[in-house]
Amino acid sequence: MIHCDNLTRAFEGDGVFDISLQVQAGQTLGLLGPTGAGKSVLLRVLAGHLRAQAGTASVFGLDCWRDRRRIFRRAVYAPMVPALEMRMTGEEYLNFSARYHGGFNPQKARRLTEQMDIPLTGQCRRMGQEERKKLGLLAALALDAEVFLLDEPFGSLSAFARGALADALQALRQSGAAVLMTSHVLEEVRRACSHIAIIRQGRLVVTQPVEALSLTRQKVYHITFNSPQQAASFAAEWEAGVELIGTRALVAIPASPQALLRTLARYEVVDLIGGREDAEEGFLRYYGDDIV
Amino acid sequence: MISALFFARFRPKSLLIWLLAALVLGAGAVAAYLPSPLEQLRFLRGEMPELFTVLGFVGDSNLPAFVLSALYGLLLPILANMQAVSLGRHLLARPLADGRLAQLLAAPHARASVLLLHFLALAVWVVLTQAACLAGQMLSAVLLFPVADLAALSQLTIGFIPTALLLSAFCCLLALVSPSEARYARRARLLLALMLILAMAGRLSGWTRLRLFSVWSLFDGRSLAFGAGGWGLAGLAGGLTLVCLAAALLYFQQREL
Repeated sequence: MIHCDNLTRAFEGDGVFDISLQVQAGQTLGLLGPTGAGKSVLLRVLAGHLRAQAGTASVFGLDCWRDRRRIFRRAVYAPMVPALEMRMTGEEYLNFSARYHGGFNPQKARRLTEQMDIPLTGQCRRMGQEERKKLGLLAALALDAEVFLLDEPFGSLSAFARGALADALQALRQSGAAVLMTSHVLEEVRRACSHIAIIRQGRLVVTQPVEALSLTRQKVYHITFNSPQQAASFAAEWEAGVELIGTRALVAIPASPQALLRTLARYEVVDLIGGREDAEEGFLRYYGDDIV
Repeated sequence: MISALFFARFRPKSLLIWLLAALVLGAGAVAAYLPSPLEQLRFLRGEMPELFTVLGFVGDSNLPAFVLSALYGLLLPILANMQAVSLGRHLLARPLADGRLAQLLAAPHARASVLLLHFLALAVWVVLTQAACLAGQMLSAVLLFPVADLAALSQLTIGFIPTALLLSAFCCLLALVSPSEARYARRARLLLALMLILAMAGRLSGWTRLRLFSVWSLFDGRSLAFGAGGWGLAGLAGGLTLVCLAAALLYFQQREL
């Protein structure tokens, strides 16, 4: 349903470069990356707001720039910061949005309003950031669309609303919709998505099912040597992936520890603690210096 | 339904202020034709003839001609300028800057329809404002000068509307090509004020050609008021409005958001 093929679009110092991905019906792809990685640019290209400089971006097989009107008969785009009509009340905005877009599902809207505790009575300009965000999401998710493009849907939401949104996204997936959402928080993507794509400096690093994320986690060993010289000597011999702090060395290895154990046999090891890195660490490893 | 957008953009409460201002201006211009204020104005004109020439006030003894010089020389052009800048800002420049226009385009509606609907809202505002001004003139005329030439007053208003619409269409185009709301506001204010100044300076002898650089040269009030033509220029203003609108549409089709 959503298809990008070698898509390139530079934008104000950021952008996306040579991106290829697809999202099928019934899939929720979480695009994960830090601020400035190019996630929003990709969504804006897919929403027909920016033109691709190279490659193609299509939804339902239609070009995102030329056929945006036809695409939005069956697709929805919710930006990171919802652009509400500030003079309207929540209810007026929802009515306006429903009439303007068409395909509004009142039952879905009622359910989401209750689940996410969305206030509809006050004027949009008097609402807080979270309330505005929830209203923007409600206006988008209450439409009976087949493709949802959601830019940072979890941003600004409370833990309670995040849980409700994750449930709503799962319901969308079960109904056969294709969802492409962005986030910079791994836990949100793991919770709501079937697939994950990690984007770094505008380029896709990896795309895989969320369940497969654990397979790429490395094993981490904390080794304590009896002297700093021993630790330094080990670091020089092992070369890759060693972090040295005094007599202690931190080694991350993707596969069997056999080679490590054989090497360590030649040193005086005081302590050895092993374990699998958690998913957040695995995510950080993809980014290196990008995340502080 | 895209018509929902028209009602979202068309804010009656904000319009009321413009309508009231236009009504008061129209009524006041006709009321100033009463002997006492007219005498005072003529006296002032004698004291400061060049200033009053620049402001467009002649002090005619014919009511439509008097209204033309008292109202259409400066007050209504200023009102039309302010309204054009304000409408361009509220309808296009600000929604472009805060993402509302992008949000409106993430919908099954053509960009041309969205822009035309905005222009329609703007045109209705302009026409209603001018109609309120005419209503004010009519009201004053009926109450104070029962034998006044109401047809001439109507012709002035109808002939003025295309120029006011041209200003608004021009502001729409300017809002689309400006990179930010603030830049739009600065450019629009500067350009429209310049046109007004050129039109005013063009009334001085020896400087009459300056008027040709202003859109206000398309409003030939004297010919309109006395049935001696002036519709050709009004038609030209209408045509230029369509040209501005077409340019805005073409630009908007390719504009990234």
